[in-house]
Amino acid sequence: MVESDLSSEVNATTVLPAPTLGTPFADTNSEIVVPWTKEDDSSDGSHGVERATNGGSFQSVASGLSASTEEYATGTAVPGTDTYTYRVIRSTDHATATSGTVDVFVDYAVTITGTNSPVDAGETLDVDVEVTNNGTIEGDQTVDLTVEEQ
Amino acid sequence: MVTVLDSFEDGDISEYSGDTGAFDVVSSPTYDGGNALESLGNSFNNDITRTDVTIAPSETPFGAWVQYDTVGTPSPRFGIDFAVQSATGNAGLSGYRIVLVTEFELLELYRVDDGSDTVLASADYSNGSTGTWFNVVCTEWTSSGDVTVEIRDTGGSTLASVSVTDSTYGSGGIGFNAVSDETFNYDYYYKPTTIAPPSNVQITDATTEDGLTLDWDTSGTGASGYYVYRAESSGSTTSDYTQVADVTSPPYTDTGLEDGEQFYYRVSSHD
Repeated sequence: MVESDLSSEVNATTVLPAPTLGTPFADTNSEIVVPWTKEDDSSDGSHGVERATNGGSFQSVASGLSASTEEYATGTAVPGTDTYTYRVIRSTDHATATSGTVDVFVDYAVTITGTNSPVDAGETLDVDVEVTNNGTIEGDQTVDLTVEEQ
Repeated sequence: MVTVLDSFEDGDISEYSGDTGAFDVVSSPTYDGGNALESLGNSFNNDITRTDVTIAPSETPFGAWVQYDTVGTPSPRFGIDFAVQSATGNAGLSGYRIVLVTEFELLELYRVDDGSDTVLASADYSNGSTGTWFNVVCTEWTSSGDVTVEIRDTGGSTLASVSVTDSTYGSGGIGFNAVSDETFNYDYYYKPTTIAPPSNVQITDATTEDGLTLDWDTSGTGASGYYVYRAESSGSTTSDYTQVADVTSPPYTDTGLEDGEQFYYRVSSHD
């Protein structure tokens, strides 16, 4: 078998599919957790998470997460204040792909719907409270009842 | 693998120009097949040449098989031409000639300039004999003019060798020469089979996660197939790559690749 010299060299990079975002949720520490599904079969590289506040520019909130990581707790949010937009960046040694985005708004409304107030000393105060989640994610929220003396 | 430039199996010398009346195709003796060339010994210094087949520097070893029946006098000689610059007879011939001077058992290398011979080197060979096929072979011919020619016996043993440096002529045609009243036989003028790598290799599709498609030009390669080599870093020799395909023609799509990974390719031709 006679074989020629080699041709000139060419190179290219295969497409890196972007991660698919899941539905964010609040964990038991009230941190906003952003989950995603890794869509590529590469074992190298890393993930990063970026956040934009109220439509501003994206800022990194996490980088260098392992290639196998598929969620990240981004911190707590003050209810009723900011809307966060998240996206995930997948990077290999040769390619980068950016997921879509998901908005997170945390807001709870607390309303006293009924009470036997005022009560005398020694009596039990009954309070009916309705808590409404007006935000975009599920979560646990602690409700404080403050009794003020009159 | 060798490419036979002529073994006279077509039974004629119609491809040749020059002193065609001084040569003929015969059925005996032959080195290969049913025909060989014979000089008729009917005039003084004759060549037939052709330039539709060529030999280039680095296409070594090349040569032919020759035989003489009688030693004769005075100093009969004959040989094969290469680097022939234009298809012509002895008059006007320019190129190189590997010559056997049978009476003195000399191997010589000539440069021929417009029909004028210059002996560049000469060496005695022993064990010459009539009625035996010898291989006159150029084992080295570089673009800078380093030339080595040999005479070998049928067993492949080198009987004599000469080396010169002369870069007057480069790639050219072939021919046969005879200077004698004697008859000589010539057969099986060959050179190595050479195959060129494909040109214009490119990646034509890099839009999927798992595959890359390569394409290339096959014109002028002389190949019947192509090896595709892949690596994950830049390389230069086959040992730097893994052969991933042997295909008869382009394009080729390399599949099952890792996503978001850079791949390097080279392609070679084979016979």
